[in-house]
Amino acid sequence: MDRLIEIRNAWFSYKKEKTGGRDRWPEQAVRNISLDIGRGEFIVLIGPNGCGKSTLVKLLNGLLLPDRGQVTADGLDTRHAGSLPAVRRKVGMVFQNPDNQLFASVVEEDVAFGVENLCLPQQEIRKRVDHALELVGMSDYRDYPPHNLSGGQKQKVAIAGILAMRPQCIILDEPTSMLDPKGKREVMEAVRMLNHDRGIAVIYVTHDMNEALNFNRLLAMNEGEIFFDGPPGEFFADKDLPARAGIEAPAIKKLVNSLTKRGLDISSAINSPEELVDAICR
Amino acid sequence: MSITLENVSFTYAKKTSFAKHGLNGINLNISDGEWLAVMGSTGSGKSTLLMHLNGLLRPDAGRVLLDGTDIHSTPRTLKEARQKVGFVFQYPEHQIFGNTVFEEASYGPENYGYPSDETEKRVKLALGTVGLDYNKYKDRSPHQLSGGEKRRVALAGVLASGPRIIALDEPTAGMDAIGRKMLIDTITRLNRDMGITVIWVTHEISEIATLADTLLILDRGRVAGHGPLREILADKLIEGLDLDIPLAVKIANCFRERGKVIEGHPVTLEEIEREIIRLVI
Repeated sequence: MDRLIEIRNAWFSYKKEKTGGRDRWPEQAVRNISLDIGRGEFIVLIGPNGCGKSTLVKLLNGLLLPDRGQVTADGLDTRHAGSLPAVRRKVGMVFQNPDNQLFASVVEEDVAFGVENLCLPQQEIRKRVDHALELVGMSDYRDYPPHNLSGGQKQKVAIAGILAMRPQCIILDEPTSMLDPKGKREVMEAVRMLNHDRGIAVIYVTHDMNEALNFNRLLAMNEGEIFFDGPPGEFFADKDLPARAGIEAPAIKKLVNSLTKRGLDISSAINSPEELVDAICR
Repeated sequence: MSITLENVSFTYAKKTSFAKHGLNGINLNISDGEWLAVMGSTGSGKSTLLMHLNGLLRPDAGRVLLDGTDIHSTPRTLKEARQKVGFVFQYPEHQIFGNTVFEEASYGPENYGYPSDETEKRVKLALGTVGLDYNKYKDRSPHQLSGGEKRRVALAGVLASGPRIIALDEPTAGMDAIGRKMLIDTITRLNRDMGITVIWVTHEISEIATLADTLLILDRGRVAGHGPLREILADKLIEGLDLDIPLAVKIANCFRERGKVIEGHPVTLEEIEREIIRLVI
Protein backbone atom coordinates (compact mmCIF):
# COMPACT_ATOMS: atom_id res chain seq x y z
CA MET A 1 0.00 0.00 0.00
CA ASP A 2 1.24 3.46 -0.94
CA ARG A 3 0.77 5.25 2.36
CA LEU A 4 -0.78 8.71 2.55
CA ILE A 5 -1.51 9.11 6.25
CA GLU A 6 0.29 7.26 9.02
CA ILE A 7 -0.80 7.25 12.64
CA ARG A 8 1.60 5.77 15.16
CA ASN A 9 0.48 5.07 18.73
CA ALA A 10 -1.65 8.20 18.92
CA TRP A 11 -3.32 9.20 22.21
CA PHE A 12 -5.64 12.11 22.77
CA SER A 13 -7.64 13.46 25.73
CA TYR A 14 -9.74 16.64 25.77
CA LYS A 15 -9.26 17.43 29.47
CA LYS A 16 -5.71 17.88 30.49
CA GLU A 17 -6.06 20.09 33.54
CA LYS A 18 -5.27 18.41 36.82
CA THR A 19 -7.11 18.88 40.09
CA GLY A 20 -5.51 17.81 43.35
CA GLY A 21 -2.76 16.00 41.53
CA ARG A 22 -4.97 13.58 39.63
CA ASP A 23 -6.70 13.66 36.29
CA ARG A 24 -10.27 14.83 36.63
CA TRP A 25 -11.13 13.41 33.23
CA PRO A 26 -9.04 10.32 32.78
CA GLU A 27 -11.03 9.36 29.68
CA GLN A 28 -8.93 9.16 26.57
CA ALA A 29 -10.87 9.99 23.42
CA VAL A 30 -8.26 8.20 21.31
CA ARG A 31 -6.27 5.36 22.87
CA ASN A 32 -3.08 4.18 21.29
CA ILE A 33 -4.29 4.04 17.71
CA SER A 34 -1.95 3.02 14.89
CA LEU A 35 -3.33 3.11 11.39
CA ASP A 36 -2.25 3.52 7.77
CA ILE A 37 -4.42 5.23 5.18
CA GLY A 38 -3.35 4.48 1.60
CA ARG A 39 -3.69 6.76 -1.42
CA GLY A 40 -7.07 6.48 -3.08
CA GLU A 41 -8.63 4.37 -0.33
CA PHE A 42 -12.41 4.43 0.22
CA ILE A 43 -12.91 4.10 3.96
CA VAL A 44 -15.92 4.31 6.26
CA LEU A 45 -15.51 4.93 10.00
CA ILE A 46 -18.32 3.90 12.36
CA GLY A 47 -18.95 3.63 16.09
CA PRO A 48 -21.36 4.87 18.80
CA ASN A 49 -21.63 8.53 19.88
CA GLY A 50 -18.63 9.52 21.96
CA CYS A 51 -16.43 6.63 20.80
CA GLY A 52 -13.74 8.95 19.42
CA LYS A 53 -14.54 8.97 15.69
CA SER A 54 -14.57 12.75 15.34
CA THR A 55 -11.46 13.05 17.50
CA LEU A 56 -9.60 10.56 15.34
CA VAL A 57 -10.45 12.30 12.07
CA LYS A 58 -9.45 15.68 13.53
CA LEU A 59 -6.05 14.21 14.31
CA LEU A 60 -5.61 13.32 10.64
CA ASN A 61 -5.31 16.90 9.38
CA GLY A 62 -3.89 18.51 12.47
CA LEU A 63 -7.08 20.14 13.77
CA LEU A 64 -6.11 18.26 16.93
CA LEU A 65 -2.60 17.18 17.80
CA PRO A 66 -1.88 13.87 19.52
CA ASP A 67 -0.84 14.07 23.20
CA ARG A 68 1.46 11.14 22.52
CA GLY A 69 2.38 9.38 19.30
CA GLN A 70 2.64 10.76 15.80
CA VAL A 71 0.46 11.55 12.80
CA THR A 72 2.00 12.19 9.39
CA ALA A 73 0.15 13.16 6.21
CA ASP A 74 2.11 12.68 2.98
CA GLY A 75 5.25 12.55 5.12
CA LEU A 76 4.51 15.79 7.02
CA ASP A 77 4.31 15.58 10.82
CA THR A 78 1.18 17.40 12.10
CA ARG A 79 3.07 18.48 15.24
CA HIS A 80 5.32 20.78 13.20
CA ALA A 81 3.42 24.04 13.03
CA GLY A 82 5.22 24.89 9.78
CA SER A 83 3.74 21.91 7.95
CA LEU A 84 0.13 22.46 9.05
CA PRO A 85 -0.96 24.62 6.07
CA ALA A 86 0.35 21.95 3.69
CA VAL A 87 -1.26 19.15 5.73
CA ARG A 88 -4.65 20.89 5.62
CA ARG A 89 -4.34 21.42 1.86
CA LYS A 90 -3.66 17.74 1.38
CA VAL A 91 -6.30 16.50 3.81
CA GLY A 92 -9.58 18.45 3.62
CA MET A 93 -12.52 18.13 5.97
CA VAL A 94 -16.31 18.45 5.54
CA PHE A 95 -18.48 18.61 8.66
CA GLN A 96 -21.96 17.54 9.68
CA ASN A 97 -23.96 20.74 9.57
CA PRO A 98 -23.98 22.43 6.14
CA ASP A 99 -25.25 25.68 7.66
CA ASN A 100 -22.16 26.06 9.82
CA GLN A 101 -19.74 25.79 6.90
CA LEU A 102 -21.00 28.18 4.24
CA PHE A 103 -20.77 31.89 4.94
CA ALA A 104 -20.28 33.80 1.67
CA SER A 105 -23.24 35.47 -0.03
CA VAL A 106 -22.73 33.61 -3.30
CA VAL A 107 -21.85 29.94 -3.90
CA GLU A 108 -18.69 30.55 -5.95
CA GLU A 109 -17.27 32.98 -3.37
CA ASP A 110 -17.67 30.29 -0.78
CA VAL A 111 -15.86 27.74 -2.92
CA ALA A 112 -13.10 30.28 -3.66
CA PHE A 113 -12.41 31.18 -0.04
CA GLY A 114 -9.80 28.48 0.58
CA VAL A 115 -7.93 28.87 -2.72
CA GLU A 116 -7.88 32.64 -2.45
CA ASN A 117 -5.73 32.19 0.61
CA LEU A 118 -3.15 30.19 -1.31
CA CYS A 119 -1.90 33.35 -3.10
CA LEU A 120 -2.53 31.92 -6.57
CA PRO A 121 -3.00 34.01 -9.72
CA GLN A 122 -6.57 35.12 -10.38
CA GLN A 123 -6.97 32.87 -13.47
CA GLU A 124 -5.83 29.81 -11.56
CA ILE A 125 -8.38 30.53 -8.80
CA ARG A 126 -11.11 30.93 -11.42
CA LYS A 127 -10.11 27.68 -13.07
CA ARG A 128 -10.06 25.72 -9.83
CA VAL A 129 -13.41 27.07 -8.60
CA ASP A 130 -15.11 26.32 -11.91
CA HIS A 131 -13.65 22.85 -12.03
CA ALA A 132 -14.58 22.05 -8.42
CA LEU A 133 -18.19 23.16 -8.95
CA GLU A 134 -18.34 21.10 -12.12
CA LEU A 135 -17.06 18.00 -10.33
CA VAL A 136 -19.87 18.09 -7.77
CA GLY A 137 -22.46 19.07 -10.39
CA MET A 138 -23.17 22.52 -8.93
CA SER A 139 -21.97 24.77 -11.80
CA ASP A 140 -25.49 26.01 -12.48
CA TYR A 141 -25.75 27.33 -8.94
CA ARG A 142 -22.54 29.41 -8.91
CA ASP A 143 -24.44 32.70 -8.49
CA TYR A 144 -26.94 31.43 -5.94
CA PRO A 145 -26.94 32.53 -2.33
CA PRO A 146 -26.08 29.34 -0.35
CA HIS A 147 -29.09 29.73 1.97
CA ASN A 148 -31.40 29.08 -1.00
CA LEU A 149 -29.90 25.62 -1.58
CA SER A 150 -31.11 22.31 -0.20
CA GLY A 151 -29.06 20.56 2.49
CA GLY A 152 -27.56 18.11 -0.01
CA GLN A 153 -26.60 20.96 -2.34
CA LYS A 154 -24.99 22.87 0.53
CA GLN A 155 -22.87 19.85 1.42
CA LYS A 156 -21.78 19.55 -2.22
CA VAL A 157 -20.72 23.22 -2.18
CA ALA A 158 -18.74 22.52 1.01
CA ILE A 159 -17.10 19.57 -0.77
CA ALA A 160 -16.31 21.81 -3.79
CA GLY A 161 -14.56 24.26 -1.46
CA ILE A 162 -12.28 21.45 -0.34
CA LEU A 163 -11.77 20.15 -3.91
CA ALA A 164 -10.57 23.55 -5.09
CA MET A 165 -7.59 23.03 -2.76
CA ARG A 166 -6.68 19.90 -4.79
CA PRO A 167 -6.55 17.57 -1.78
CA GLN A 168 -5.26 14.00 -1.73
CA CYS A 169 -7.76 12.99 0.91
CA ILE A 170 -11.19 14.22 1.96
CA ILE A 171 -12.59 13.48 5.40
CA LEU A 172 -16.36 13.77 5.80
CA ASP A 173 -17.69 13.71 9.38
CA GLU A 174 -21.33 12.59 9.25
CA PRO A 175 -21.96 14.71 6.15
CA THR A 176 -25.44 13.29 5.56
CA SER A 177 -26.89 12.95 9.05
CA MET A 178 -28.86 16.17 8.69
CA LEU A 179 -30.01 15.49 5.13
CA ASP A 180 -33.14 13.89 3.71
CA PRO A 181 -32.93 10.66 1.66
CA LYS A 182 -32.46 12.57 -1.60
CA GLY A 183 -29.70 14.75 -0.13
CA LYS A 184 -27.99 11.66 1.28
CA ARG A 185 -27.95 10.02 -2.14
CA GLU A 186 -26.61 13.15 -3.86
CA VAL A 187 -23.70 13.48 -1.41
CA MET A 188 -22.91 9.76 -1.52
CA GLU A 189 -22.82 9.86 -5.34
CA ALA A 190 -20.50 12.88 -5.35
CA VAL A 191 -18.16 11.22 -2.85
CA ARG A 192 -18.08 7.95 -4.76
CA MET A 193 -17.27 9.77 -8.00
CA LEU A 194 -14.39 11.72 -6.40
CA ASN A 195 -12.86 8.51 -5.17
CA HIS A 196 -13.49 6.43 -8.25
CA ASP A 197 -12.76 8.95 -11.02
CA ARG A 198 -10.29 11.26 -9.29
CA GLY A 199 -8.52 8.80 -7.01
CA ILE A 200 -9.00 10.99 -3.96
CA ALA A 201 -8.82 9.03 -0.71
CA VAL A 202 -12.06 9.28 1.30
CA ILE A 203 -12.65 8.78 5.01
CA TYR A 204 -16.36 8.90 5.71
CA VAL A 205 -17.90 8.94 9.20
CA THR A 206 -21.51 7.78 9.45
CA HIS A 207 -24.18 6.19 11.63
CA ASP A 208 -26.05 5.06 8.54
CA MET A 209 -25.20 1.41 8.06
CA ASN A 210 -26.74 1.35 4.59
CA GLU A 211 -24.21 3.98 3.55
CA ALA A 212 -21.42 1.99 5.15
CA LEU A 213 -22.01 -0.89 2.73
CA ASN A 214 -20.76 1.29 -0.17
CA PHE A 215 -17.16 1.39 1.04
CA ASN A 216 -14.16 -0.89 0.52
CA ARG A 217 -12.73 -0.71 4.02
CA LEU A 218 -14.56 -0.32 7.31
CA LEU A 219 -13.04 0.89 10.58
CA ALA A 220 -15.17 0.33 13.70
CA MET A 221 -14.35 2.20 16.91
CA ASN A 222 -15.43 1.88 20.49
CA GLU A 223 -14.09 3.66 23.57
CA GLY A 224 -11.23 5.28 21.72
CA GLU A 225 -9.97 2.14 20.00
CA ILE A 226 -10.35 0.58 16.57
CA PHE A 227 -11.65 -2.95 17.08
CA PHE A 228 -12.34 -3.86 13.46
CA ASP A 229 -10.50 -3.00 10.24
CA GLY A 230 -11.66 -4.88 7.15
CA PRO A 231 -14.33 -5.22 4.44
CA PRO A 232 -17.86 -4.05 5.47
CA GLY A 233 -19.37 -7.34 4.29
CA GLU A 234 -17.24 -9.26 6.78
CA PHE A 235 -18.17 -6.88 9.61
CA PHE A 236 -21.93 -7.13 9.10
CA ALA A 237 -21.93 -10.87 8.45
CA ASP A 238 -20.44 -11.36 11.93
CA LYS A 239 -23.11 -11.87 14.56
CA ASP A 240 -21.24 -10.17 17.43
CA LEU A 241 -19.22 -7.32 15.91
CA PRO A 242 -22.04 -4.84 15.12
CA ALA A 243 -23.69 -5.35 18.52
CA ARG A 244 -20.35 -4.95 20.29
CA ALA A 245 -20.08 -1.47 18.82
CA GLY A 246 -23.65 -0.55 19.77
CA ILE A 247 -24.35 -0.53 16.05
CA GLU A 248 -27.27 -2.00 14.21
CA ALA A 249 -26.46 -3.96 11.08
CA PRO A 250 -28.29 -2.74 7.94
CA ALA A 251 -31.82 -4.16 7.84
CA ILE A 252 -31.13 -6.24 4.72
CA LYS A 253 -28.10 -7.87 6.40
CA LYS A 254 -30.07 -8.64 9.57
CA LEU A 255 -32.83 -10.26 7.54
CA VAL A 256 -30.42 -12.31 5.39
CA ASN A 257 -28.53 -13.51 8.52
CA SER A 258 -31.75 -14.46 10.22
CA LEU A 259 -33.13 -16.32 7.19
CA THR A 260 -29.84 -18.17 6.78
CA LYS A 261 -29.99 -19.19 10.41
CA ARG A 262 -33.44 -20.63 9.80
CA GLY A 263 -32.03 -22.86 7.10
CA LEU A 264 -32.61 -20.88 3.90
CA ASP A 265 -29.83 -21.35 1.37
CA ILE A 266 -29.23 -17.75 0.22
CA SER A 267 -26.05 -15.81 -0.44
CA SER A 268 -24.68 -13.61 2.33
CA ALA A 269 -23.75 -11.10 -0.40
CA ILE A 270 -27.38 -10.07 -0.93
CA ASN A 271 -27.60 -6.28 -0.64
CA SER A 272 -31.05 -5.25 -1.90
CA PRO A 273 -34.72 -6.30 -1.66
CA GLU A 274 -34.73 -7.24 -5.36
CA GLU A 275 -31.74 -9.57 -4.92
CA LEU A 276 -33.43 -11.22 -1.95
CA VAL A 277 -36.72 -11.74 -3.76
CA ASP A 278 -34.79 -13.09 -6.80
CA ALA A 279 -32.95 -15.57 -4.59
CA ILE A 280 -36.18 -16.81 -3.04
CA CYS A 281 -38.30 -16.94 -6.22
CA ARG A 282 -35.55 -18.71 -8.13
CA MET B 1 -56.44 16.61 23.62
CA SER B 2 -57.34 16.65 19.92
CA ILE B 3 -56.14 18.94 17.14
CA THR B 4 -58.03 19.78 14.00
CA LEU B 5 -56.71 21.65 10.99
CA GLU B 6 -59.42 23.11 8.79
CA ASN B 7 -58.32 24.06 5.31
CA VAL B 8 -55.03 25.52 6.55
CA SER B 9 -52.86 27.39 4.04
CA PHE B 10 -49.65 29.27 4.63
CA THR B 11 -47.31 31.17 2.32
CA TYR B 12 -43.75 32.17 3.19
CA ALA B 13 -42.50 35.63 2.18
CA LYS B 14 -45.96 36.79 1.18
CA LYS B 15 -46.23 39.64 -1.30
CA THR B 16 -42.60 39.35 -2.37
CA SER B 17 -41.11 37.72 -5.46
CA PHE B 18 -39.84 34.94 -3.15
CA ALA B 19 -43.37 33.93 -2.09
CA LYS B 20 -43.52 30.17 -1.56
CA HIS B 21 -46.41 27.95 -0.58
CA GLY B 22 -45.69 26.22 2.75
CA LEU B 23 -49.07 24.57 3.22
CA ASN B 24 -51.94 24.37 0.80
CA GLY B 25 -55.44 23.58 2.07
CA ILE B 26 -54.56 21.07 4.78
CA ASN B 27 -57.41 19.22 6.49
CA LEU B 28 -56.36 16.97 9.33
CA ASN B 29 -57.69 15.57 12.56
CA ILE B 30 -55.43 14.19 15.28
CA SER B 31 -57.33 12.42 18.06
CA ASP B 32 -56.55 12.44 21.76
CA GLY B 33 -53.82 9.87 22.54
CA GLU B 34 -53.02 9.21 18.88
CA TRP B 35 -49.46 8.73 17.65
CA LEU B 36 -49.20 10.33 14.22
CA ALA B 37 -46.10 9.90 12.07
CA VAL B 38 -45.40 12.53 9.41
CA MET B 39 -43.24 11.93 6.34
CA GLY B 40 -42.38 13.96 3.27
CA SER B 41 -39.31 15.07 1.36
CA THR B 42 -37.53 18.33 2.17
CA GLY B 43 -39.77 21.30 1.43
CA SER B 44 -42.97 19.25 1.66
CA GLY B 45 -44.23 21.33 4.60
CA LYS B 46 -43.55 19.04 7.57
CA SER B 47 -41.92 21.63 9.81
CA THR B 48 -44.35 24.32 8.65
CA LEU B 49 -47.21 22.05 9.71
CA LEU B 50 -45.70 21.48 13.17
CA MET B 51 -45.25 25.20 13.69
CA HIS B 52 -48.95 25.71 13.12
CA LEU B 53 -49.94 23.28 15.85
CA ASN B 54 -48.87 25.53 18.70
CA GLY B 55 -49.34 28.83 16.94
CA LEU B 56 -45.71 29.60 16.11
CA LEU B 57 -47.06 30.32 12.65
CA ARG B 58 -50.50 31.71 11.95
CA PRO B 59 -52.38 30.30 8.94
CA ASP B 60 -53.16 32.72 6.10
CA ALA B 61 -56.40 30.88 5.62
CA GLY B 62 -58.20 28.22 7.64
CA ARG B 63 -58.19 27.43 11.35
CA VAL B 64 -56.23 25.36 13.87
CA LEU B 65 -58.52 24.00 16.59
CA LEU B 66 -57.39 22.61 19.93
CA ASP B 67 -60.23 20.60 21.48
CA GLY B 68 -62.59 22.55 19.23
CA THR B 69 -61.28 26.04 20.07
CA ASP B 70 -59.44 28.18 17.51
CA ILE B 71 -56.00 28.71 19.04
CA HIS B 72 -55.78 32.20 17.55
CA SER B 73 -59.12 33.41 18.94
CA THR B 74 -57.68 35.21 22.00
CA PRO B 75 -54.19 35.70 23.54
CA ARG B 76 -55.29 33.24 26.24
CA THR B 77 -56.08 30.43 23.82
CA LEU B 78 -52.74 31.00 22.12
CA LYS B 79 -50.88 30.80 25.43
CA GLU B 80 -52.80 27.64 26.24
CA ALA B 81 -51.77 26.13 22.87
CA ARG B 82 -48.12 26.95 23.54
CA GLN B 83 -48.31 25.21 26.90
CA LYS B 84 -50.36 22.21 25.87
CA VAL B 85 -48.50 21.51 22.63
CA GLY B 86 -44.85 20.86 23.50
CA PHE B 87 -42.47 21.29 20.61
CA VAL B 88 -39.15 19.46 20.33
CA PHE B 89 -37.27 21.09 17.48
CA GLN B 90 -34.64 19.50 15.27
CA TYR B 91 -31.34 19.27 17.11
CA PRO B 92 -32.80 20.62 20.35
CA GLU B 93 -29.37 20.35 21.97
CA HIS B 94 -28.26 23.34 19.87
CA GLN B 95 -30.78 25.48 21.71
CA ILE B 96 -29.71 24.69 25.24
CA PHE B 97 -28.75 27.83 27.14
CA GLY B 98 -29.16 27.07 30.86
CA ASN B 99 -26.09 26.94 33.11
CA THR B 100 -27.44 23.89 34.90
CA VAL B 101 -29.76 21.08 33.90
CA PHE B 102 -32.29 22.38 36.44
CA GLU B 103 -32.18 25.91 35.01
CA GLU B 104 -32.68 24.55 31.50
CA ALA B 105 -35.59 22.26 32.36
CA SER B 106 -37.33 24.81 34.63
CA TYR B 107 -37.44 27.59 32.02
CA GLY B 108 -40.90 26.56 30.77
CA PRO B 109 -42.78 26.13 34.06
CA GLU B 110 -41.19 29.28 35.51
CA ASN B 111 -42.39 31.33 32.58
CA TYR B 112 -45.87 29.89 32.84
CA GLY B 113 -45.88 31.33 36.35
CA TYR B 114 -45.77 28.21 38.49
CA PRO B 115 -44.57 28.70 42.10
CA SER B 116 -41.04 27.45 42.71
CA ASP B 117 -42.02 24.30 44.64
CA GLU B 118 -44.40 23.33 41.81
CA THR B 119 -41.67 24.05 39.26
CA GLU B 120 -39.25 21.85 41.16
CA LYS B 121 -41.79 19.05 41.33
CA ARG B 122 -42.39 19.27 37.59
CA VAL B 123 -38.70 19.33 36.71
CA LYS B 124 -38.06 16.33 38.97
CA LEU B 125 -40.84 14.40 37.28
CA ALA B 126 -39.78 15.44 33.78
CA LEU B 127 -36.13 14.47 34.31
CA GLY B 128 -37.26 11.14 35.74
CA THR B 129 -39.46 10.55 32.71
CA VAL B 130 -36.55 10.98 30.31
CA GLY B 131 -34.37 8.71 32.44
CA LEU B 132 -32.09 11.28 34.06
CA ASP B 133 -31.64 11.04 37.84
CA TYR B 134 -32.71 14.38 39.35
CA ASN B 135 -30.12 14.60 42.13
CA LYS B 136 -27.31 13.42 39.90
CA TYR B 137 -28.03 15.75 37.01
CA LYS B 138 -29.77 18.89 38.29
CA ASP B 139 -26.62 20.89 39.07
CA ARG B 140 -24.55 19.70 36.13
CA SER B 141 -23.85 21.91 33.13
CA PRO B 142 -25.92 20.68 30.17
CA HIS B 143 -23.04 21.59 27.90
CA GLN B 144 -20.87 18.87 29.41
CA LEU B 145 -23.38 16.10 28.76
CA SER B 146 -23.28 13.70 25.82
CA GLY B 147 -25.38 14.42 22.74
CA GLY B 148 -28.02 11.88 23.74
CA GLU B 149 -28.23 13.26 27.30
CA LYS B 150 -28.55 16.82 26.02
CA ARG B 151 -31.43 15.82 23.83
CA ARG B 152 -33.14 14.22 26.82
CA VAL B 153 -32.62 17.40 28.86
CA ALA B 154 -34.25 19.38 26.05
CA LEU B 155 -37.17 16.95 26.04
CA ALA B 156 -37.48 17.24 29.84
CA GLY B 157 -37.66 21.02 29.44
CA VAL B 158 -40.65 20.59 27.15
CA LEU B 159 -42.31 17.99 29.41
CA ALA B 160 -41.94 20.17 32.52
CA SER B 161 -44.52 22.59 31.12
CA GLY B 162 -47.06 19.76 31.21
CA PRO B 163 -47.99 19.35 27.53
CA ARG B 164 -50.79 17.00 26.44
CA ILE B 165 -49.45 16.90 22.91
CA ILE B 166 -45.81 16.57 21.87
CA ALA B 167 -44.61 17.44 18.39
CA LEU B 168 -41.12 16.21 17.52
CA ASP B 169 -39.19 17.25 14.41
CA GLU B 170 -36.82 14.42 13.42
CA PRO B 171 -36.00 13.63 17.03
CA THR B 172 -33.52 10.80 16.37
CA ALA B 173 -31.47 12.46 13.60
CA GLY B 174 -27.74 12.10 14.21
CA MET B 175 -28.10 9.75 17.20
CA ASP B 176 -26.53 6.31 17.56
CA ALA B 177 -28.58 3.12 17.94
CA ILE B 178 -28.60 3.19 21.76
CA GLY B 179 -29.63 6.85 21.98
CA ARG B 180 -32.40 6.28 19.46
CA LYS B 181 -33.82 3.35 21.36
CA MET B 182 -33.86 5.26 24.66
CA LEU B 183 -35.63 8.23 23.12
CA ILE B 184 -38.20 6.07 21.34
CA ASP B 185 -38.84 4.10 24.57
CA THR B 186 -39.40 7.36 26.47
CA ILE B 187 -41.91 8.68 23.93
CA THR B 188 -43.65 5.29 23.86
CA ARG B 189 -44.14 5.48 27.63
CA LEU B 190 -45.49 9.04 27.40
CA ASN B 191 -47.94 7.95 24.73
CA ARG B 192 -49.02 4.62 26.22
CA ASP B 193 -48.94 5.35 29.95
CA MET B 194 -49.77 9.05 30.10
CA GLY B 195 -51.99 9.26 27.02
CA ILE B 196 -49.98 12.06 25.48
CA THR B 197 -50.69 12.67 21.82
CA VAL B 198 -47.51 12.32 19.73
CA ILE B 199 -46.75 13.91 16.36
CA TRP B 200 -43.46 12.56 15.07
CA VAL B 201 -41.84 13.92 11.92
CA THR B 202 -39.28 11.53 10.47
CA HIS B 203 -37.40 10.33 7.40
CA GLU B 204 -36.87 6.95 9.04
CA ILE B 205 -40.30 5.49 9.51
CA SER B 206 -38.91 2.00 10.25
CA GLU B 207 -38.01 3.16 13.76
CA ILE B 208 -41.62 3.73 14.75
CA ALA B 209 -43.53 1.61 12.23
CA THR B 210 -45.04 -0.57 14.95
CA LEU B 211 -45.57 2.29 17.40
CA ALA B 212 -47.36 5.02 15.46
CA ASP B 213 -51.07 4.57 14.74
CA THR B 214 -51.42 6.78 11.73
CA LEU B 215 -49.22 8.20 8.99
CA LEU B 216 -49.49 11.51 7.19
CA ILE B 217 -47.57 11.99 3.96
CA LEU B 218 -47.00 15.54 2.77
CA ASP B 219 -45.99 16.52 -0.73
CA ARG B 220 -45.39 20.15 -1.72
CA GLY B 221 -47.61 21.48 1.03
CA ARG B 222 -50.53 19.12 0.41
CA VAL B 223 -51.74 15.90 2.02
CA ALA B 224 -50.59 13.06 -0.27
CA GLY B 225 -51.76 10.32 2.05
CA HIS B 226 -53.27 9.95 5.52
CA GLY B 227 -54.60 6.93 7.39
CA PRO B 228 -53.58 3.78 9.26
CA LEU B 229 -49.78 3.57 9.04
CA ARG B 230 -49.48 0.09 7.52
CA GLU B 231 -52.00 0.77 4.77
CA ILE B 232 -50.44 4.07 3.79
CA LEU B 233 -46.93 2.59 3.66
CA ALA B 234 -48.09 -0.21 1.36
CA ASP B 235 -49.86 2.26 -0.92
CA LYS B 236 -48.31 2.50 -4.40
CA LEU B 237 -48.95 6.22 -4.50
CA ILE B 238 -46.15 7.06 -2.09
CA GLU B 239 -43.49 5.28 -4.15
CA GLY B 240 -42.81 8.28 -6.38
CA LEU B 241 -42.32 10.68 -3.48
CA ASP B 242 -38.68 9.90 -2.73
CA LEU B 243 -39.30 8.61 0.79
CA ASP B 244 -37.40 5.94 2.68
CA ILE B 245 -39.94 3.18 3.10
CA PRO B 246 -39.17 0.20 5.39
CA LEU B 247 -37.31 -2.73 3.88
CA ALA B 248 -40.18 -5.08 4.81
CA VAL B 249 -42.61 -3.01 2.73
CA LYS B 250 -40.23 -2.93 -0.25
CA ILE B 251 -39.76 -6.71 -0.10
CA ALA B 252 -43.50 -7.32 0.22
CA ASN B 253 -44.17 -5.08 -2.82
CA CYS B 254 -41.44 -6.89 -4.74
CA PHE B 255 -42.98 -10.30 -3.98
CA ARG B 256 -46.42 -9.08 -4.99
CA GLU B 257 -45.04 -7.85 -8.32
CA ARG B 258 -43.87 -11.43 -8.93
CA GLY B 259 -47.38 -12.67 -8.23
CA LYS B 260 -46.65 -14.05 -4.76
CA VAL B 261 -49.21 -13.67 -1.99
CA ILE B 262 -48.08 -11.72 1.07
CA GLU B 263 -50.57 -11.59 3.91
CA GLY B 264 -51.34 -8.36 5.72
CA HIS B 265 -49.02 -5.35 5.64
CA PRO B 266 -45.64 -6.36 7.10
CA VAL B 267 -43.56 -3.39 8.29
CA THR B 268 -40.90 -5.03 10.48
CA LEU B 269 -38.13 -7.50 9.66
CA GLU B 270 -39.76 -10.13 11.90
CA GLU B 271 -43.06 -9.80 10.06
CA ILE B 272 -41.56 -10.08 6.58
CA GLU B 273 -39.34 -12.93 7.73
CA ARG B 274 -42.42 -14.86 8.83
CA GLU B 275 -43.98 -14.28 5.40
CA ILE B 276 -40.81 -15.38 3.57
CA ILE B 277 -40.62 -18.57 5.65
CA ARG B 278 -44.28 -19.22 4.87
CA LEU B 279 -43.59 -18.75 1.15
CA VAL B 280 -40.69 -21.20 0.98
CA ILE B 281 -42.24 -24.00 3.04
